[in-house]
Amino acid sequence: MAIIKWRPGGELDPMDWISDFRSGLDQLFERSLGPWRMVKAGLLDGDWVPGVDVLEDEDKVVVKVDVPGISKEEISLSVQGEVLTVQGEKKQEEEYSEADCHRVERVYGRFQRTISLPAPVDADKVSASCRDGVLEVTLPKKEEVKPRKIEISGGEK
Amino acid sequence: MNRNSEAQRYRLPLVNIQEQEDRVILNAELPGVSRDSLEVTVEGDEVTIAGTRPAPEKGLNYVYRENVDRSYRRKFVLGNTIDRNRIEATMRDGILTLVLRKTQEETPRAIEIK
Repeated sequence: MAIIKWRPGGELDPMDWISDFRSGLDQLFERSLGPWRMVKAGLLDGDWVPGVDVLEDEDKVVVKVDVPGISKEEISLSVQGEVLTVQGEKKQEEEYSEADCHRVERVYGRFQRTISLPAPVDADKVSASCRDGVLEVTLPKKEEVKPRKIEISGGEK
Repeated sequence: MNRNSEAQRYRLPLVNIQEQEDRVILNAELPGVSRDSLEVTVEGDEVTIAGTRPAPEKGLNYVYRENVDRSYRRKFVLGNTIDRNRIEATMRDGILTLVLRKTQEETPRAIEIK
């Protein structure tokens, strides 16, 4: 085997291996589960993805969407079948120049999230409220899917 | 889930920090945290923001959950230029705004040239 003199920036530059490793890692993260993968796949449309919790009891489904800094006028909701769609826009509170910023972690812009509901709901009775930057949507379940208590007739007095 | 038996875990709130002539403005996203459950403390040269989202209403069960950790906590080191006694905090729609004023000596002053 020939001995090749190591040249920085040449074919055997260890930095190449590191960058290969890095792009491999990036790919791994891109393929992994999570909302960002859905953004890449075009399933979610927008500049950012709000966090969502879905809860239920016998009578209703409750969907909580994190919308910090967004007024309720900027949010729109729609229910179609067993799918709830939330969309809106997070606007920057005030203009500032990038040069004055030490940290910019918050993301602004449009969001859209489509949530499949665990049960059929009565779309006419959906209510929503916004509190402390969380949108809470209450969707009553359709009567036919609610558990019913059945009286047992007969038996001893 | 057996989360409660584990040590408390925290989420880091996302922040923007912006500097102006006489003040530094910090905005943090704390969705779900009410004004009453938010704590802002200054200790030594650190300011800590901490808050907890309320637990879901009794009887409701999670179908799908992304907000696994309900508590937020983050510390920031204050520079020497910040006046510790004049920190203002306001909370609105899940956004905490901290206004950190600089000490008088640090505010640039126009010097008259004679």
